[in-house]
Amino acid sequence: MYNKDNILALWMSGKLSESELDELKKEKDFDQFKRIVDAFDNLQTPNYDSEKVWQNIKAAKLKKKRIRFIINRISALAASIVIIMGIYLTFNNNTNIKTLACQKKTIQLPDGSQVIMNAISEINYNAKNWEKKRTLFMTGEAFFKVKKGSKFTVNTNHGSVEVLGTSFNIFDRENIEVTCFTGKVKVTSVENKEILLLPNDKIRIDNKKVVKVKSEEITNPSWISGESRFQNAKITRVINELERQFDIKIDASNIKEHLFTGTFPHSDKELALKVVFDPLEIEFSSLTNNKIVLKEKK
Amino acid sequence: MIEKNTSDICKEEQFNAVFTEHSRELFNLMYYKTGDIDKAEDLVQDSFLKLWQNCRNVILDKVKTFLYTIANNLFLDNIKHEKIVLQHRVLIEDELDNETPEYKLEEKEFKEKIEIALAGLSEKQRVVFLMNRIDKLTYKEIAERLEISVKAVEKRMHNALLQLNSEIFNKR
Repeated sequence: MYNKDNILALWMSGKLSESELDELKKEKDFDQFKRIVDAFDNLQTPNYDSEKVWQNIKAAKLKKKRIRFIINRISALAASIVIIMGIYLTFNNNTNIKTLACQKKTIQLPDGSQVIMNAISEINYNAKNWEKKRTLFMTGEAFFKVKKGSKFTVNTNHGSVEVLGTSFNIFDRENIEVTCFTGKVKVTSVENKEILLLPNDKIRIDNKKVVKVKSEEITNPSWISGESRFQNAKITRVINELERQFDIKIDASNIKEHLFTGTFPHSDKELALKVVFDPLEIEFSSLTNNKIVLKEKK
Repeated sequence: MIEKNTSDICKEEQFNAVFTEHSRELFNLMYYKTGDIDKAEDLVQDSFLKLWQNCRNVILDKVKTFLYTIANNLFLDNIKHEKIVLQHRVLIEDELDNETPEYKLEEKEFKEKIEIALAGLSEKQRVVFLMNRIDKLTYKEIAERLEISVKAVEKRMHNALLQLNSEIFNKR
């Protein structure tokens, strides 16, 4: 039936040449193959109680340890002439970096990994311990380019993200959104759901619901290049971003719910307000320099 | 007397890190083999205990190989080959709004068909196929873990898909 006994394997890993792919597409079962493979994208193994397993291992280890402890005591006695004292002091070397409204910052971590922070965001990490443990805490939004090495973990209020070496964006404000650009990223929600992301996968966790979103951004999140892009986003999400980018307050109490798809620039406040609100038929007027009120037209 | 040659794995911290890094993936593999959550957890637990007992003899670079070999041997020792049915959780919902009730029902039926078809695969095929499709491991990574050639992994993938296809669509 097939001239190679691994042709479907090569197809699933995306390694077929164009002519081979065209050949395969002519197979009558090709659509069925595709349907089966697609179905697996949404499947995960059942919950695994790693904490329980870990506790059992610890308990069993303890029994073994007692025996070893006695042996150690004997050898310690023989060597008691030499006493080595090591004093190990660790200082709490916490580094804390914040960005204000309309501000972006690029930070180099001790191992050379890079973090680009969007406005009103914060990261926290231990610089001294960094080589041993690449873990940081963040709120807000940031884009990470991680150098290859040991596990790199980002903790947020809505879950944690783990990678080896890759680039990805985290938005952690009202909800959490994670976009993977290169490599492989593992997201763990607060309810311990684990999701694996491959390049151009984006997920949003909103009210405990995990939703796969199509990512239109290819190599970098759009905000890095000075604009914010939205795809079917709630208007409140867009308004919050406008407030952060221009350090303004927007009164949205008089408008209905809208969905917004489009882009606004970070360089020009008037233009940004126009491109967001004009298409939605919303009027905006400035009370003072940094206070804006919205009203439905008609 | 200075303790030397002791591998880092004997240290609590390092052992913990090894557990965090490998236990989920090992659990998945054991689940693919046994189709039973409790058995899979037991196998993971026993494998790590074996690692702990041998922590002085295993170097960090070889931990993964060691764990997978041990787990596989324990599996062969203890598990009778039964027909298994795997259950999978649908985790990610698509955002598309075309989910009419009929569509949802069809999807549910399709998922059940897949579960049955998976049970019809040989253990070798099923394990490889799920490691690639669910754990997103590359063929090379799978080959390393199962100690087989990449070519063998590809063959199993190929045949697994053919088999699934005939189980799901071509059964009369």
